[in-house]
Amino acid sequence: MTTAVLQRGSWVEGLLAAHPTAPESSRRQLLEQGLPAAREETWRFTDLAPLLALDPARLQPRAGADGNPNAATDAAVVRLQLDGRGTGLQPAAASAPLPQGLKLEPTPLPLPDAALLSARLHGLTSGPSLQLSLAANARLQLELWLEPAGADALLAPRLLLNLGEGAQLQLAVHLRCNGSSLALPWVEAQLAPGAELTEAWLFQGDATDVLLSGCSVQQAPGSRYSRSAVVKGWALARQEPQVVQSKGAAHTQLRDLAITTDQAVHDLHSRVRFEGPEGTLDQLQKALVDGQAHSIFNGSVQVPQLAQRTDAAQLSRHLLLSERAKVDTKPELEIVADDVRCTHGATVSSLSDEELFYLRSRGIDRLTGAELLRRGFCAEILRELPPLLAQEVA
Amino acid sequence: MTATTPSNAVDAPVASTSVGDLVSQPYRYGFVTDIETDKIAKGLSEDVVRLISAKKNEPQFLLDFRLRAFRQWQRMEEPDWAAVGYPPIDYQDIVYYAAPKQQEKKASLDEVDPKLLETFDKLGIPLSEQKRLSNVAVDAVFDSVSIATTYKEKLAEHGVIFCSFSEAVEEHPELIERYLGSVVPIADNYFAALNSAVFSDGSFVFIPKGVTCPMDLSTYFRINSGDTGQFERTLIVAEEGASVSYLEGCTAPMFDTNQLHAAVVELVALDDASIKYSTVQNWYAGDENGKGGIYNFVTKRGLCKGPRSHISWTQVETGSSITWKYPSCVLAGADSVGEFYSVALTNNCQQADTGTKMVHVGERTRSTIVSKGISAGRSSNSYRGLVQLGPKAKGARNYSQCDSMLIGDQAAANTYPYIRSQQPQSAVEHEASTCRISEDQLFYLQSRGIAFEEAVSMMVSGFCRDVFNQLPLEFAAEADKLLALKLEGSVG
Amino acid sequence: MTESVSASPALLEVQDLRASVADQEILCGVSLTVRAGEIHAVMGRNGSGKSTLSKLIAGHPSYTVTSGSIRFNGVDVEEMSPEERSRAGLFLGFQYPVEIPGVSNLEFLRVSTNARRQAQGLEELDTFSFEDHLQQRLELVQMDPSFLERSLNEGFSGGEKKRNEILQMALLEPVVAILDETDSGLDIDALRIVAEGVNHLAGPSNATLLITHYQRLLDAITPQFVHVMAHGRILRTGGPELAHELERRGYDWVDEAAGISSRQSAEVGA
Repeated sequence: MTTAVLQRGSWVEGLLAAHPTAPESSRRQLLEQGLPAAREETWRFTDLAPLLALDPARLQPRAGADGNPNAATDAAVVRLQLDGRGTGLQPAAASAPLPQGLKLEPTPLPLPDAALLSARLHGLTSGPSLQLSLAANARLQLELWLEPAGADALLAPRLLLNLGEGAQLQLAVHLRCNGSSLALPWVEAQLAPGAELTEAWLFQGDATDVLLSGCSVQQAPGSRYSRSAVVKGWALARQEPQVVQSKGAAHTQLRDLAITTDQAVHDLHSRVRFEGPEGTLDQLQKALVDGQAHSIFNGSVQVPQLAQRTDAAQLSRHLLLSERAKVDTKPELEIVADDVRCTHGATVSSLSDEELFYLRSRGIDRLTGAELLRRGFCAEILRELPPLLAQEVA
Repeated sequence: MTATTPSNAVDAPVASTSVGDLVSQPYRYGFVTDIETDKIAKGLSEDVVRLISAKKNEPQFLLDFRLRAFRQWQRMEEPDWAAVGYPPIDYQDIVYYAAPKQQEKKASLDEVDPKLLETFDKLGIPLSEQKRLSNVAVDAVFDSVSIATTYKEKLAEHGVIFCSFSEAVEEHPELIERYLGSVVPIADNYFAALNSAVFSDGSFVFIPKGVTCPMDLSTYFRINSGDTGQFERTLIVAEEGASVSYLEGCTAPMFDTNQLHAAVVELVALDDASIKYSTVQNWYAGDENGKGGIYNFVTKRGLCKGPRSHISWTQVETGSSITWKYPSCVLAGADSVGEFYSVALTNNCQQADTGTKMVHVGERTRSTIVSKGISAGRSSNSYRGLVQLGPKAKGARNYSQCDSMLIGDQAAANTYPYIRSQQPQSAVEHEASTCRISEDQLFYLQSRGIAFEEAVSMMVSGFCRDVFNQLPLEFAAEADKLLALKLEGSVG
Repeated sequence: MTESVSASPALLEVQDLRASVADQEILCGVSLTVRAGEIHAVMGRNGSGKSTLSKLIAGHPSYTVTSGSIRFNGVDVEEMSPEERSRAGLFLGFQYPVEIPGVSNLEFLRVSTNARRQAQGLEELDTFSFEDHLQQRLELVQMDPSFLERSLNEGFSGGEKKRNEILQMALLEPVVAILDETDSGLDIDALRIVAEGVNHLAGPSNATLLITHYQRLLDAITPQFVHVMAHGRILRTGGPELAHELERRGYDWVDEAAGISSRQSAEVGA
């Protein structure tokens, strides 16, 4: 943490200098658009200082840590981990054979949506890459263990998922940084009619690490997309999942839990857009905010005219536990269709006195009771995670 | 709902009796009074600001206030964050002062131009001694000036000051100097700065310590000129333990052009004081194609300065081409209470971006927000709110409920409720929902013999009930009728 | 209380208890003694102060005693936290048990049972022995074991919540159990199960205080003492026949007997 905080411009220059072989178009894009200014509406509450505190000259891909995953629990699971250079993925010891349609070589891919900072930064790197095309009705369980062994890592995994009709993919990702690192996971997914993608993410970081995660999902009618993400640690962790139901009639479920302590800034900017009728959304965002932490939620739901009979529910719940912590939460509902059911709610509060009293009246002391309530608050999201990941959080 | 097809929406089962068949009633208050006015030339400069001040014979502090505001305004940019769109306003193409030609404000109503009295008669606000409302004191504002205030003497017996802003500047300059700009600082926002520079008249209310105002107070704003901006200023001060209920009404003639209305309202409530501010806004909304209508860019804010003070805003927004308005409360005093009850109805091409800010500063402050948005036609209706709990607002509570009702599939309903909390010993709860008038509900009512249009209006007023309940009785009935009128032709 | 001195020890002694909430006096001097082996009923209409009494005994932080005292097993409980009271054997069955999403019912029951056992000097139960321990008590309240897997009270019906309360009572084996409107919102079957549970758990060394405003529960659990509360006071005390008289003549009768008009009582009602 001795690194001085750089100015935005010099930080970008430093990063560019450290990646001389990056594609010209990506370099230009980053130079032109730079880092978001503090006055930009979507960055108004998110302090970029932790990013600027990272030394751009030292950020490099690092070899994967040993020992992940610990034990194979299910022989049918394909397990991949960071390779020895940190730029590719390789099968872990306990992996099922790689299926057809899975490519691990880095391939030149068109740059994703450069409006997002995570995408702009991503464009500079050649991180581990995974392309998966799942044939119609195929099923796959995939686990990724993304943990660089040392500090100062630049971890920019890119996943391209293409699910054919009725295909089912269960993806579990454990991403962990170990100090002064920058993680830029980027996911693009296409879901054909009837396809099901279930993602579980555990993002763990040290108090100096920065996470900028982007995800862009296109859902065809009849598909189901379910994303559960748990963020723990980090100096700054921002996630920007963007889901489009291209013709409506799909189901999207988003579950987020941020366990925010110390001076961490956790930020979730989600966007779900319905471009056809009869889509459904079930979104629950939770954050437990302690220490001097700052939790930010901005949840946009767009229901244009052709999205009749959309049923969207969004709930944001913050548990604010410290006098020095703060919360900014802002649902954004934009609705033009009239025959829809859209609800949203937001709460910010501390532990409930009534709940605490109930526990205490059963002989459970205040501290244990508070701990039970905190765990209960998290349990709703944690139970969506595979047990292997959920254990890591506890 | 998944089994229904799009064609099964509202219109199908009721096509034969659709409200679309009803003749949409024209805006009732769209007439122009032909009266000679004293207007200054179009345009805005420091000289214009000085001229307005000179015409009103203002003391130096007020001129200084205006000039400071004008210089600020020149450095500011028009806000663009609201979900409204309009062509750029040419601030040099507006008349900043227009007054009906009559020398001084008349001592007695008998001397007021009969045409003006007639105008207010037509608007349902009779001012003359014989016909005036018995339980409400009225300040009538025509374009830039106040032309008459009823019941002044009776109120004075209780120590209540209720007069035009200009009179207050002359008679109570110390109160004006003390409170003007104390809640909405001149540089607060672009339109507030503009108002602070060029405001012409408005109402002033002062309720002294311990006095419960014996009757409701009301200001009626009438824009008459087609090229005049209206920039009124309202200041209400309730001293310790005082209380008052204040009503505001507004109308304007129908012009093809847009008129700018940029008012500022400041409320100050000292210890244990209570101010209830109700608005039924019915400015001309433009025609069904969005031509003409008022741009209503208004800054309203109340300061709960003393402990246990209470400020309540109730608004029924049915008019204006564009509404940009966030009546807010700064809850500084411990245990103070802020409330915001709003019905915003938009039809045709109207755009409304309205809501509130509840800024909790003091301990155990409480606020309630109930917002009901109804969007019909091709209109756009946005709720934008901020609930902020500062680090010292221990024990503070907020509850917000924002519901939208959509009528037709071309109207937009947006909700942007923003919460910022820095206080763990507090609780904020926000709930929102979107609904429509379902064919099942309409059918049920119709099968009980209720006419279609009556069924619609029953459901709309049911939707707004929580807000209407906050309005003074006569206003509530008026608001109900107004809503029904505004919605005609929008369903079916 | 002027009953002849009974041989059994006093478990709960409430003396001239006064309490207020937000500057309004809710209890204006309540005295009550409950001895081992006794069942008492406190009756009164809404707002009479009877729920406040139960919250005060359990130590709810929103209610404060302004004067008077509560002694449990001869010890003044004023300085005791709610959990200390519970571990000592005071139990409050809530009128509205809170729902706590995410906290497993089973875990909650185990933690609270062990807290009580520890205070009693008993061995803590591990997961397996606790489940055995739990099994018999589940049968008592005829509760489906699937309720254990769910979050605490979350999505439970009114009857299920009350049965869960009785289950907790069975596990904690309290010395004094206060059941606050345990009968409200129950259908006949649930009421029978709850009453059987209470009767089963009542013994010579413990005591029960039923708080209710209907006779209904008292048909199934017979109290030795009935107290009628109104306006923050106990206006009358009698045997089971008092409950019947109240059922027949209504609460106004008590008011009249106490010389308070029903208009006044409406004002006191919270």
